[in-house]
Amino acid sequence: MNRLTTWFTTGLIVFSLALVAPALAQQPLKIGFGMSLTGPLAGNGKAALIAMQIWAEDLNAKGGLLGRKVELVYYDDQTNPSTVPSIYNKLLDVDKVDLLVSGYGTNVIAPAMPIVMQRNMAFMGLFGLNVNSKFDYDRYFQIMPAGPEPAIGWTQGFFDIAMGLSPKPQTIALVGADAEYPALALEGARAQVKRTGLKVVYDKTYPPNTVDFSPIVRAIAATNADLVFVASYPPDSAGMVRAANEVGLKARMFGGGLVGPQFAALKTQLGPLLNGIVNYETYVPDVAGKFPFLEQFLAKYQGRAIREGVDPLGFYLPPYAYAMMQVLEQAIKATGGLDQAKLADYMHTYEFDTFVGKVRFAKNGEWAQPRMLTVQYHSVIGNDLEQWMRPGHVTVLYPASYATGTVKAPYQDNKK
Amino acid sequence: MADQLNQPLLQVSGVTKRFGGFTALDNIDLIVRPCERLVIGPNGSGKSTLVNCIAGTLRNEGGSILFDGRDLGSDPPHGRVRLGLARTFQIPRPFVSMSVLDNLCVPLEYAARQHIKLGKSEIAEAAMHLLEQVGLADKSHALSRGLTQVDMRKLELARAMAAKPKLLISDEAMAGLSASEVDDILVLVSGLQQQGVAVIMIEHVMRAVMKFSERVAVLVAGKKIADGDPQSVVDNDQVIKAYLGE
Amino acid sequence: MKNRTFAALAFATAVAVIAASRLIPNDYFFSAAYTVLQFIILATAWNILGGYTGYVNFGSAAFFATGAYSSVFLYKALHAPLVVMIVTGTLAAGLLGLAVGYLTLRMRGVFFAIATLALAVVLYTFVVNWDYVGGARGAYIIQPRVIPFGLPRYIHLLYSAMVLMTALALVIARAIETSTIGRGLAAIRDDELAAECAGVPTLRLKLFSATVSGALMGMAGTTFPYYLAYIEPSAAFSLSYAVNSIAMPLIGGMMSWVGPVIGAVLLGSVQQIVQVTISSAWNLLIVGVLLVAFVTLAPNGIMGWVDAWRRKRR
Repeated sequence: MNRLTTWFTTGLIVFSLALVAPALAQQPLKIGFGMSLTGPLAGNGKAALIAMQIWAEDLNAKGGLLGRKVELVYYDDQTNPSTVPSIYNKLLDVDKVDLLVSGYGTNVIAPAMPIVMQRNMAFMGLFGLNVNSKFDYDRYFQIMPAGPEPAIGWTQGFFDIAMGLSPKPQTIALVGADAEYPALALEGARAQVKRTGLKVVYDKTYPPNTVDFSPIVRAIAATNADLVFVASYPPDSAGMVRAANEVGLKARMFGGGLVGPQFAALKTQLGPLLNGIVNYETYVPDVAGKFPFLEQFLAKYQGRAIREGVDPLGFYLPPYAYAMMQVLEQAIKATGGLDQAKLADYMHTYEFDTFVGKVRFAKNGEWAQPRMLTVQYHSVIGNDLEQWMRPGHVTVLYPASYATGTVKAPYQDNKK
Repeated sequence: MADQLNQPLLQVSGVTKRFGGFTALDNIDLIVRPCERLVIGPNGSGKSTLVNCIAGTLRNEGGSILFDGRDLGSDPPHGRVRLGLARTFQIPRPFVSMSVLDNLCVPLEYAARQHIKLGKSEIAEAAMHLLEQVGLADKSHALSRGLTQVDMRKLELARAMAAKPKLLISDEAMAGLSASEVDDILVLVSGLQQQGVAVIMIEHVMRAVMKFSERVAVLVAGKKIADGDPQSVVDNDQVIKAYLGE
Repeated sequence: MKNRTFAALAFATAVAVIAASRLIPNDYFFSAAYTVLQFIILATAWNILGGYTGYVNFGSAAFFATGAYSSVFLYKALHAPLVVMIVTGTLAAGLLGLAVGYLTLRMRGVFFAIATLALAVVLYTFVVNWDYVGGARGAYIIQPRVIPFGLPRYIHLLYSAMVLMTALALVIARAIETSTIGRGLAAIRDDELAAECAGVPTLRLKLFSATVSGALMGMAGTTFPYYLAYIEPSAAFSLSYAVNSIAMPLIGGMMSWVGPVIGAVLLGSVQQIVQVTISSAWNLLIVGVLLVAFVTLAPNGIMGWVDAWRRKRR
């Protein structure tokens, strides 16, 4: 070959690469998921979506991932499980996304499992309850900090703190709604009861559409239980708290597994009625020091949330939705690609640095160590939102590394 | 043979029907023989109630109704039709989603077939034949809801005839019709007797009453006050009182 | 066309459709088509009692859920094969239709409709409290690892089963519609009293219609737990089943077996498309608007339009 041909050929190759390379670089890295943007869980779904969008923007501002822009491809699952198989099949087959994450809650995570399993995709779940115990999938990961045995992790704090009271409590009342999460939490509570040797003086569930909780609380009050553990969803949680105040419930500790007070809506609605209640939270401003960068993120989130009419505090789901994406980001960077097997391997092996702290996964995909915060509400005055944005209304009791104070018992003497 | 002919086809004995405190029928006795022509009219209350009790759409409280020797008891209407007891409605009730022809196929399939051999292919033929008899053959494929009043009455009659009954009760088929239309219907009903069908006509149109009947029965306030040949009924004191008042 | 010929054609088409689907490279088609086929069966089933006989069923979800939960029960108790689940669920739902019919169809008018409203609530409460099938906690149904007939994915099996069941439902609906029974049902729909007085054994036919309708609605739900992998009462009793099973025949036409198919394909596809394009808050709005439009402008549905146009041409 003469020199002209060589130069020409080289030029042609370089030219073609120059054409193709930007096209390749411009191929966005697509992450697909369904999310509850309408339906009963829309409030949480939209909050999570905002967090994930902030993550994508933050990342793209820094140059994207693997040199590619990150793009979120999502559809509204309407909090309706029957939409999920179609959505995830479309994401994989039509939109050809590179990665999948889940929507919010067991109901929409489980229907996606068969699909991700058949395609051998690594799959991050957003707050599903013990989903993998049935599927036993080795590429499933859960961002909820409940620990490898979620029922235990959810309830450990309440019981550890309770047994630290002096004198030790003897009796406990267990109550919850007839539904998935409460049933699991109560299972955990019963296991804790066995461990601690407490005597169960009340153990009943109530039907999902109950609206009148006074009879239930009255029945519990009549047992004079030292501890009252409740596992409930937001409407029942509100009902229970109100009924407890109406009836004048007396107990050394009351609460444990109420879903609802984590959200701004119930915090403002119940206000001072929450004082004295021991419950679980995933984040409160009182431990902001332990979670650097989270305050920054929350400030960004809260601005948007108010505009979109979504939970203006964002303490519950948004930080974890963001952390979920951070785990993926780090795994992709570390493995240098999108090989699902390599990603899953990496995620099982290493520890991740996220806005919600260090995250490590157990064999079943749950957190290796639980980190549900057990807290007690206090000094809540009135029904405004502002007070919840600053520390001073929530004492973190457990785990020890996050504790900011000790429990004040009994419940009825600490309702201020 | 003579015995059979004299055996009543329909025997209504002591039939009573109350609606709450109101007695619509009070101890009614009535006999209809095969091929007989009876008019119930021209005035008085209880006529439709009696039809409904005989047809089975109402249950009488007291008395019994025997048809062809069988106590109808609490037989539902469809059972009575299948035995050969057909009725028309005062306000025609065609099957509105069906064509004129199909309207007739229903009773042919569900009633006539119970006591007459009719193959599937013969049904449409039998229906057309009936339509020819009533003069609706050219409208066989029209939707029944588009018919004129008098055509609907004809269809109503044809549908009752399609059940191949032994007794046909016609409930005020002439109401609101013109004189010539009344004649049309009368011709049809007379033709029935020639086919061996007994007919009870509930009518208040006098012309029809007088021209048609062999026998007239009069119900007033739920009681039968007259039952005999037309002339004697017209001369009956009670009937005159009922008509013209005291 | 004789029913036998139609049946042969229907099943031949079903087999052809299943074979052709082997060529489709993406799974999205199968999950979307599964949902549309489910609605074709539901609409066709509903129409047998609603359109043919004139008795409105507001509780389609109860029959659908009966099919779904009998599958869950068989899965937990016996790990029964899919065919057994389908047959059992269909029979169970048919029995439910017969029972409800026996209790309420002896009265004319709205009593049946009201009873079906209550039925859905009663059954939902029963299922929520039935712990063996998961109750309010829900139940996991794990798809088998080894897929029969060498199909690559389980959704393909579910899709194929649905295609066959759809063919069956259509064959049954058409057979009823064109038979003597169908004419009797139409007579009941047009004027029950006149039908009775024309020799139609109305109670018997109504019970038959309710049983077949219920059975087919249950059949539509029998594979649902496998499709979802996790089923809990609110998914099985979803309002969309009650609403769509009425809206689809209404829009497509209630007089013949073709109407529900048109309505289900149209409305079902629209809903699937809306789900992945515009915000699906619009989903329900679209159904509502279509319903209102058809009820006011075309009360006999699309097939009604077609029939009227055909009549004008004659």
